[in-house]
Amino acid sequence: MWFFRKWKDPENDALIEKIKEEQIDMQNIFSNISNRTKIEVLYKELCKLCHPDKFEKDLEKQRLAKEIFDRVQSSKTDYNRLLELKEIINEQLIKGDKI
Amino acid sequence: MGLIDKVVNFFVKDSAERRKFVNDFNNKAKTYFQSLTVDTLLEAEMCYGNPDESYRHPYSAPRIVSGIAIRATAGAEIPVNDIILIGKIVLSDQALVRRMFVLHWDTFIIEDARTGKFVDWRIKDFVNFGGFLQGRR
Repeated sequence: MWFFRKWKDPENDALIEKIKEEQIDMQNIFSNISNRTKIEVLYKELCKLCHPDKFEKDLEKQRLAKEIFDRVQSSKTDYNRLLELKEIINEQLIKGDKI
Repeated sequence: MGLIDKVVNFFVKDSAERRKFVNDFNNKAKTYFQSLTVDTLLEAEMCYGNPDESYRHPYSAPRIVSGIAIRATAGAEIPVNDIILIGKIVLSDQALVRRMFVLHWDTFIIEDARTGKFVDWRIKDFVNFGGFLQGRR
């Protein structure tokens, strides 16, 4: 068991205390749980919208698309973040195309 | 920190923190269910951890209390796909996962109490300390 291992590591103990004091955003977790079906649909939609392969002809846009695509990937379980990213995609990738 | 400090810490300080974590979760879950934010009532509970040795990490509690289960006890039934999705959502919150890790849980379970279907995860797979803590064996 872990407490039979003797160690002295003030750095790690300080880290543990810091972790215990971290605030947990429960509201966001519960809101994501309730929007779980919407999250899947929105995530797939955004992946299609900002996939870097869609912007092969415009290198600047492809770089931007890759950046946004990575952000979509890293927040694929956060509904509010995905909605924010959808706005960013519409503003920076799609709107620009129409102009 | 010596052995005696560790034992006292676990049975006095950390046990209280573990109970507080579970109670806080349950109170918030009840509030959100009553305010219709979520469609199912979720209840957290300490339980037996997975007996598989690969679930253990350096901070694991004794196996009898090394699991944390979130059970859907009322409201809409949850199919297995949704159970997996809820698990992914909870485990994607790094602050929550880190807290569970340092509070000595090693198994995270989501279960629908009505159907008895459940999925469990190794908490250590989802925690990211950049090499801290996990390396100590």
